[in-house]
Amino acid sequence: MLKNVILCVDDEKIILNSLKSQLKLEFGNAYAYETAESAIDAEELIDELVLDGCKILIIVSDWLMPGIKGDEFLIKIHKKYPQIVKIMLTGHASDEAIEKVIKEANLYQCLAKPWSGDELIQTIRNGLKKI
Amino acid sequence: MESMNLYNIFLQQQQLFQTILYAMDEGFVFLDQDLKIVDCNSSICVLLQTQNLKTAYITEFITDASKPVFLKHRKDLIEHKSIEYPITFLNSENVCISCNVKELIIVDKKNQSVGSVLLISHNTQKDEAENELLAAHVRIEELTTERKTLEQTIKKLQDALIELNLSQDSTLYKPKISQKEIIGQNDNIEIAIQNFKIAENNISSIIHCMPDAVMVIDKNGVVVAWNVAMEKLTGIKACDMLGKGNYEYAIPLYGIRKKILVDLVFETDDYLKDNYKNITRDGEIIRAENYIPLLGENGFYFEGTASGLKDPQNNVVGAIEIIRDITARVKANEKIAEQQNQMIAINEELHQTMEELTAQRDILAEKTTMLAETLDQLEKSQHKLVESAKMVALGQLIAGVAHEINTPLGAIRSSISNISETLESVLLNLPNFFKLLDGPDKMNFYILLNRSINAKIAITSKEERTYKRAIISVLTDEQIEKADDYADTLVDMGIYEDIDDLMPFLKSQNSDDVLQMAYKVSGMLRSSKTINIAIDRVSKIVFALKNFSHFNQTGEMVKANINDSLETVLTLYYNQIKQGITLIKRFDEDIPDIKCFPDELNQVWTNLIHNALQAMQNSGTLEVDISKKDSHVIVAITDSGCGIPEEIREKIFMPFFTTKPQGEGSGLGLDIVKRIIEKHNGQIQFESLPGRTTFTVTLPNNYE
Repeated sequence: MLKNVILCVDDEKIILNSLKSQLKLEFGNAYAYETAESAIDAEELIDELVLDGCKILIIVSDWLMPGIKGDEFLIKIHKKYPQIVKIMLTGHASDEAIEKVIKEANLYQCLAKPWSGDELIQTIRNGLKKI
Repeated sequence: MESMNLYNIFLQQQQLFQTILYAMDEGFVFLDQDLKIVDCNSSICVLLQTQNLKTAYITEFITDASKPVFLKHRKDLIEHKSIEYPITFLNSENVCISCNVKELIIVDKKNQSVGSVLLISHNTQKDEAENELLAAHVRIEELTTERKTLEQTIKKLQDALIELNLSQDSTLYKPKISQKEIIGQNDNIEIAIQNFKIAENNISSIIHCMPDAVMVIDKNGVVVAWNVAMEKLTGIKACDMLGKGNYEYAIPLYGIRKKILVDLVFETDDYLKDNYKNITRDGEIIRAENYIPLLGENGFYFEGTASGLKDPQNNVVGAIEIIRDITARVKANEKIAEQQNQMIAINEELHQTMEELTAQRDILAEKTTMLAETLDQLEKSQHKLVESAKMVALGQLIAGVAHEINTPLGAIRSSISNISETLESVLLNLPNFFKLLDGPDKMNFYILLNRSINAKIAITSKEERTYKRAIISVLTDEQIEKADDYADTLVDMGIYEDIDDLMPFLKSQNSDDVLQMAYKVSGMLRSSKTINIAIDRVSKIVFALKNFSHFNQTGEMVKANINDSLETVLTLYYNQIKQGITLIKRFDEDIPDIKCFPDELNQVWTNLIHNALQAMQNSGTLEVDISKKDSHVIVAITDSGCGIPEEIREKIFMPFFTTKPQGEGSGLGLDIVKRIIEKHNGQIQFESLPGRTTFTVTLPNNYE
């Protein structure tokens, strides 16, 4: 099934839940919404989806995660799938890390938790327009 | 009658016998066994010129010469019964009486001797001879005594002559008996010369016997005296030296003919001063000390005294030199001087050593002061380090904590947003919605709601996907169109399986709308739950932060619960722990409170857990056990990491020891941990194998 996917990556389930609800409430069935609790899970999932024929449009990812951090993850993904719009949504990230992701992963936007729903939606819309 | 007659005859005979006995010229003595005179006649009395002989012992009257003979005869008498022998008696006037004796033994009935009878006849010729001999003996005695007396007198005379009086002021020999006296005594020149020669001989004897070496020369330098000591010293006999002149005597001493001390007697003071440094004049005597290398074992030190010999008219007749061996003294003095020098040197050394020691002591005192100061500084630095380590630990937490607070906040905000969004649309539309619904659909709506409300939401994304796929597959089988969307929504609502009952509904016409509405309405509940969870999280974090950084102002221990303490730390590390690490907590229920410094203990748990997570590289099992033993609390933190190698086990508690690359970690962690635990009077130990390392902290309750 050709589906456009918005992927959310965060080690906190409550974030993933509320984030997905928020996006689903906004965009409805226009997109498929996938979630992953770690960078490793996310990578696996992305490959699966791509294999299934899905297209991942946007990744919304946290930075501070156990194991591989957000910046490393996004940079890795960017190498493989440079067209995906990458947004960092983080409770704490060092300036250097953000700089790095912007540079090496073409980070589209970095939003701080707690985020404004409007701001998030707007960022995604703008990001989607780019594609 | 007959017996009377016999008795009378006996008496007559006896009388006759007695008369004969008493009348005869020969002496007659009865001796008892003890040689006591029992009876005797008058002849013997006349002979011995003694009237009362009876009771005297005959031996009193025997000459000393005869006594042994007489006594010897006692034995002969017993043997032969009658003996005959000559004997010399001594009368009361000590005149010798030579006699011949016939002696007969008298025995008793038992043939035992009771005494003897002696017949003594005088031998006048022998008498004379005997007496003369005795007189001669006496004369000889007298003569011998006389001779002895004479000899003594002679000796005394000789001694008197030999007595000399050598005074220091006098160079002249003053005999006790002056020459004049000697001459005068007899007024005979011959005798005078003889006497002089005797005196001269005596002087020679004296010189010869002196222990010091002595030589005398006449006014022409010819040797006239060379004593034994000189012979020994030089090895030259007197006979080889006497009469020789021309400084012959210098040869054995100095190897060459030259003037020696004795020659210098008559030189002037100035001459001596100019040429000889070691000669002093003392009146008539000159003295010198010198050293002769040729003589003695290793040379010969001597003290020489020389003076001139003058006649009474003060004419020089010669000179005398006395050489005293002072080698021993000199050597001894040298030794003493040496030892003194040594002592001075040692003394100096001692002084120096004393000074050095004093200096060292001062340095030591200084160093001690410095050390005390340094120690003080170190203690202060240590204190600062502990504080700053705390801050560092705290700082490290801040990053995580910001995240830990912002994340729940994010969830809360978005959940609120969702609720308000939903409320807006749902509140408006709900009445209409219900109007349009028929009975079964209303029922389905409520069923869906119900199931959603009662569902558990805490499953992972992966699990959700698994359920979702299963549902998609079922729905696709049932040829439901929006299988993906339906599956997604159902799973979001918490409806994971057992959807067979719902199948009819899902195939029905209004399923989409109903499902959507149910999803939205139930969504509000889900959002509320999310908010609650998030709030819990934040509270915990804030609480943990408060506990962690609680600064103990008083410096005294306070009662605290170890379980809470560990919970605090685990909470703070939650985000690191949850992914990839399985946490196993075994907290004993009734752990008593202990007196401690809670913030410092938090540091300990933080450090140990941090190390554990690092060792596992954030993947593995973390076990935290709290138990109690007597009045102690035991905390064990176990990780499944690679373990601590043998070679560093001794070092891990050492300050600045770290296995991390430079820049990461100060290496103070375990050192500070150890100090904190010691401060709590506790202990820390560890056991390590690859795959399982446990740090165990034992804390007493510190109640007293």
